[in-house]
Amino acid sequence: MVKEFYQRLFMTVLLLILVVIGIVFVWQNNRIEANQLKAQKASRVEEVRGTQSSGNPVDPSLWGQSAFAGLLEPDFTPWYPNQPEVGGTLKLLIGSDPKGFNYLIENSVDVSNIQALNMTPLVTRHKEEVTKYAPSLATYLGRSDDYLTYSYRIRPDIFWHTPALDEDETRPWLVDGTSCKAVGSRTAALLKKTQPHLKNVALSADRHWVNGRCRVTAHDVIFWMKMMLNPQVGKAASARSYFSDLDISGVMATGDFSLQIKFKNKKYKNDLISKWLSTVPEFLYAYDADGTRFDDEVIGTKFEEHWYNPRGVGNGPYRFVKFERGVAVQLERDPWYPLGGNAADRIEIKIVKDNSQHPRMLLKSASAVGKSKNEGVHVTSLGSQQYRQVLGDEDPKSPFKDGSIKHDFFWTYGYGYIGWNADKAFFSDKRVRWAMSYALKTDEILSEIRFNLGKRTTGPITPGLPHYDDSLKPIPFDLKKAAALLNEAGWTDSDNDGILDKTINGRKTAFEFTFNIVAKPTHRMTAEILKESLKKIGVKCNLKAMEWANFLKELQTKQFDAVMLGWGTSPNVDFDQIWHSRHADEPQSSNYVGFRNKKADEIIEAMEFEFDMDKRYALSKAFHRLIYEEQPYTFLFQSKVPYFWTPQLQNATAVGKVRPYLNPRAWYLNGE
Amino acid sequence: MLTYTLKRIALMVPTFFAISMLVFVLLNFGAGNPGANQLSGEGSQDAQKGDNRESYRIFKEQFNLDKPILFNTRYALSNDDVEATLEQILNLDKSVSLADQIAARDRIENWGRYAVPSLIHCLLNHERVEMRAKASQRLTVNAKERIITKFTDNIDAERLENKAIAKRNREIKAWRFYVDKAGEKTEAQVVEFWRQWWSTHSKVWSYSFPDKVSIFFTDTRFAKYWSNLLRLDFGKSHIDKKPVLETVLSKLKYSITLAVSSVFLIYLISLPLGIWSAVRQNTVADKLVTFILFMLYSLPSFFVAVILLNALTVGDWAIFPNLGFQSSDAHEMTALEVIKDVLWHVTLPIVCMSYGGLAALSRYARTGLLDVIRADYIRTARAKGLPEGIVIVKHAARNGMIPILTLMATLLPALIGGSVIIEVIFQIPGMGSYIFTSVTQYDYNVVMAVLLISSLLTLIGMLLADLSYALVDPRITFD
Repeated sequence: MVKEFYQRLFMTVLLLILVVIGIVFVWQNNRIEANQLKAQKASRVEEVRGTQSSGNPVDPSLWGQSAFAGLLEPDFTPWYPNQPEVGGTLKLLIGSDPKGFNYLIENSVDVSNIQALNMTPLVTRHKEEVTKYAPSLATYLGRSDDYLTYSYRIRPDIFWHTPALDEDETRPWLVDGTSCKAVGSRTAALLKKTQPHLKNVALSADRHWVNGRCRVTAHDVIFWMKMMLNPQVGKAASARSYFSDLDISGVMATGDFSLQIKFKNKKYKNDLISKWLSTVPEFLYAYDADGTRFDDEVIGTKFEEHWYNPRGVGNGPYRFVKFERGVAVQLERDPWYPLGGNAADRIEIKIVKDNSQHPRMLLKSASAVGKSKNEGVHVTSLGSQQYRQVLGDEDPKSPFKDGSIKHDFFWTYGYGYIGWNADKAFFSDKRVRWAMSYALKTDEILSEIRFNLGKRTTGPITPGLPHYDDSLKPIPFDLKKAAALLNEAGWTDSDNDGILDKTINGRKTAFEFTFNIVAKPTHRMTAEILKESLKKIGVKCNLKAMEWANFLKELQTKQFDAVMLGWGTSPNVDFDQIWHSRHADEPQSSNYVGFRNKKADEIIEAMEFEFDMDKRYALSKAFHRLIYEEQPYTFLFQSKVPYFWTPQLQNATAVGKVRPYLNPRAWYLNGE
Repeated sequence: MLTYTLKRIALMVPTFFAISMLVFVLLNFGAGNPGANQLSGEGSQDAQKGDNRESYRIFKEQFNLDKPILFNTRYALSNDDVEATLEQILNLDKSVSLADQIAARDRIENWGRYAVPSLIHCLLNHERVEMRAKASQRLTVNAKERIITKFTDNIDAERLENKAIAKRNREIKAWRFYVDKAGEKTEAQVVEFWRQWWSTHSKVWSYSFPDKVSIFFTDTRFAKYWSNLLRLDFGKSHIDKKPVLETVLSKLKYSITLAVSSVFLIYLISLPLGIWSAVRQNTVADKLVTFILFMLYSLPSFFVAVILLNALTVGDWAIFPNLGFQSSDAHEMTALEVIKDVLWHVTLPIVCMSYGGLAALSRYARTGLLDVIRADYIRTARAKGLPEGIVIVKHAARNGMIPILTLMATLLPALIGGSVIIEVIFQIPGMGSYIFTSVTQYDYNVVMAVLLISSLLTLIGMLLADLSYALVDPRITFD
C-alpha cells in the first residue's frame, strides 16, 4: 500500500516536471521564432525601400530625357501635391476572386486595377487632360505620313520583377536567367536576320540579364502581339478583333528597344489601338514548368493555361508577391522602379465577396488608427444600398458621421438605358419610343432608387466629353404627352378593356409587352415604376426578371420587347459596334435593338476615317442629336460611385478620370 | 463483417457511378453554358469574326464541350442533316429565326470531323452556289485535326505528330471560295482540291460496326470525363485553368477545420445537456432547455451570422475579426500566435455552424439515456448502493450514448454542405465558398468535382456509421 503510494507520487511529480519543461520549451522556442521573424521582417522592409545597394543599375543619362516626341506629350502633373510619407501597407478591397493575372487574357475591372499597379503601360493618358497621351514605357511613339506605320522606342531601365514562386517551388532555369538568356540569343539572331544595320553589331545572349533580373525589351511587346493574335488564346478574342486591320508583315522589333507595327488601312480606330500595346515576359510565358520552350503549334493553348497563370509578374511600380484565392492579393514596392507613384511599401488587396462586409472593413480600419493590427481596409467604394445605409445611420458616434471616415465620388464612363426592340410591332414607331421615354419618372428614379448617385444623360455618349451635345435636354416625365403620342401612332382603346390596341396586318393587337430585366433590386424597382405609369395610359408591361445567363441568351437571340442594361465606355467615342445597321441582323451583335438608320450609318462611316478632332466632335454631336430624335433607347444615367476612406489615407481625393478610377499610386499613408 | 464491408464497398461503385451520371446530365442540360462567358459582355460583338469563332471552337474542343453528352450517333449523320443545317445558317429565304441560326452554327461546329463526308457531298453536288461556298468554308474548319495539348510519356513522338497535324491543318485552311466577292481561289480550283483530298482521306470516315459501337459509347462528354476520373483527374477549371483537384485539396483544410470543430463543439455541449435533461425529465428546467434549443434551431444561420457580426466585430464590443480564416500577416507570426489567431478568427463561424445542431443531438442524447435508465442493470447498480452520479455517468451514459456516437459519421458531410453560406459570409476560403463562386461562373468541372467528392464523403460516412454500430455494440452483428 505504502509502496504504491510512493510510486504514484513519483509518477505525478515526474509528469509535472515534464509538463513544466514542455511549457518552458514551447515558450522559449516561441521567443526565438519571434526574434527571427522580426529580423526577417526588418530586412524585407529594407529591401523593399531600396536602402540596400539594390537601386536600378541602368544610368538614365544613357538614353536621355530628350527622346520624348511624336504623338506623346510628357505629363508634368505630379503624383502627390507635396512630399509623401513613404512606407506602410496600403489596404484595398475587391469584391471577387481574380481569375488570374495573365493580363492579356484577364480584363475584368479588378484585374485591370491590379495591372495598373503591377505593370508599366507603353503610354498612359494624362492625369488631368485624358485625351492626351504621355510616355511611360515607350518614350517615343511616331506615326508615318501615310498613317499606316507606328513606331515606338522604349526605355532601357524597366525590368521584369522576380516571378512570385511558391516556397517549395524550384525553377532554377528561371532564377538563374537561363530562359532570359535563351530569349536573348533568339532575338539577337532574329535582329541580325531582319535588320541589316545590326548585322555586325555584337549582341550577347545575356545582354538583358542584369543583376538577377530580366530587362523589358521590344521583343516582349512583339511577344504580346503574337499571343494576342494567336487564335488558340481564346480570351484575347475581344482585343484581337480590334487589331483585324493589322499588316502582320510590318510588325517587328527593329532593335532591342524599338519596334514598329503596320496597318493595312488608314483608320482612326488604328490610331487609338496603337496606344493599347503592352508587354508579356517571353522569358517566362514561352517556357514550360521544366524550362523547355513550347512548340509553336501549342504555344497559344499553353499560354492560356500557363503553369504560372494563377500568379502575376509585372514591370511596374509594385511587384506581385502572392495571391491566395478568397483571401488577398499582396504587392510590394519595386525599389528599381524609375517612374514613381509607389509611396507605400506594400499593397494588400483583400478579397471580400459579401458586400455587406464592405462597410465593416472601413470601420475595422478606422478603429485601428495608431495600432498595428492588420484589419479592415483604408479605402473602398460602396454600392448604392450600403451608401445609403452608412450615411443614414442615426448614431452620431458612427465613424461615418463623426468625420473620421470621409467620402467623395468618382464618375464612370458609360450610361444605363432601356432598349426598345425596333423589330417588334410595338416599338418600330419612334413616336411610341418617345411615349415610353415620357412615361418614365426618370428624375424620381434617380433620387429615390439611385440616391442621386448619377446624372441623366440624353444620348450614347458620356456627359462631359467634348463629343456630347449639351443643348439636348433630358426628357421630362409627362404622361399626357405620352398618351397623345401613342394615340398619334394609332394605338387606341377600341374595345374599352383598358388596354390600348391597334390593327396590325389585319389583326387586332393589344399593347402588352414583356420587359426583360436582370434580377437586381434597383432594376426591378425601376421597372416597377415604369410598369405603374404605363398602366395609367393603357399599356400593359409584364416584367421578366432573369438570371444573367438566361437574360443574355434572350438578348442575343432578340427574343425580347424591351430590356434594361448599361454600356461601359471610354473617352474614345466609337458608335460602330452598337449602332451600325449592318450589325442589326447579325446573331449575337451589340445592335440588338435593331437600330437601322441611313444617316447614322453615314456618320459612323465618316468618323471611321476622320482624324481631325474638331470634325470628330461635330460628327459625334450630330450623331447624338440623331439618336435623341430616334429614341432607340430611353437613356437613364451616368453613374457616380461613392468611395470612402479612413483617417490613415492621405491625398485620397486624387481619383483617376479614367480607369482605374481609384488611384492607389497617388495615395500614401500617414505614419503606420 | 469483412464480407459485409466488401459487399458495401462493391455497392458503392455503381451508386457513385449513378450519382455522377445524374449530376453530369443535370449540369449539362442546365441553362447557360461555360462558353457563353467567353462570348458575353464586351466580346459579344466580336464573336462573329472568323478567328474569334475559331477561339471559341478550340475552347469547346479542349473541354470536350463539342461532344454529345451521353451517346454519340454522329457517325450516322446524313447529307440531309448537314444540308438542312447549312440552309439554316445561310437563311437564304429569310425565314429562320436568329435563335435557330445560332443553334445551327453551333451544331455544325460541334459535329466537327463527323460532318466532313456530307460537306464534301454538298460541295460536289449541291445545285445552289451559296450552299457549295458555305460547304467549302465549313470544310476548312471541320476537316481540321485536333492538336495534342495533353502530352503523355511519349512526348517527343507527340510533338512531331503535332507538327504534322499543324501542317495538314494549314494546308486546308485557304481552300474555300466566296459567292459575292473574289477570293484567292476560284470555285473550280477549290472543288478540285477537295475532290483530290477526299480521294486520299475518305477511308478515315468508313466506320466498321465495332468503330460505331466505340464511338457511340466513348466519344462523348461523359465517357471522356469518366476516363479522366479513373486516373483521379477531375479536369481543369474553365476559369483559372488549374487542375480542380489541386484547388479542392488546398481548400479542404479550411472546411475540415470548421466541420470538425463544429462537430466537436456540438457533442461537447449537447451530450451533457441531453443527459442533464434526461435526469430531470419533464421538469420545468427540462422544458425550458428544450424550448430554447428549438428556438435556436429555427433561427437561420445567415441571420445569426449577421447579428453576431454587427454586435461583436464593430462598435463598442468589437472583440472578433469580421472575416477570414487567419490574419494576412500570419507568415510573420510564431506557431503559437498562428494557433491563437486562427481560433480567434473561426470562433464566430463555428458558433454559427453549431448552434443549430444542438437541438437534434441533445434530444437524441436525452432519449438514448432514457432508454437505458429503466433497464435492469441500472436498478441493480442503484440497489447495490452506488451514488446516483456514478450510476448515470458510468453505467447509464456509456450504454445510452452508443447510437449518438454513430451519428457523427453522417454529420460530417452534412456540415460540409451546410458551410457554404457561412463560408461566404465570413469569407473563409474553403470548399463552400469555392463551389458558390464556381456555380455562378458556370465552372462545370469544379462543380462536378466538389459534388462528387462530397457524395463520396457521404457514402463513406454512411458506411462508417453502419460499421461503427457493430463495433461499439456487441449485440449488433452483420454476419
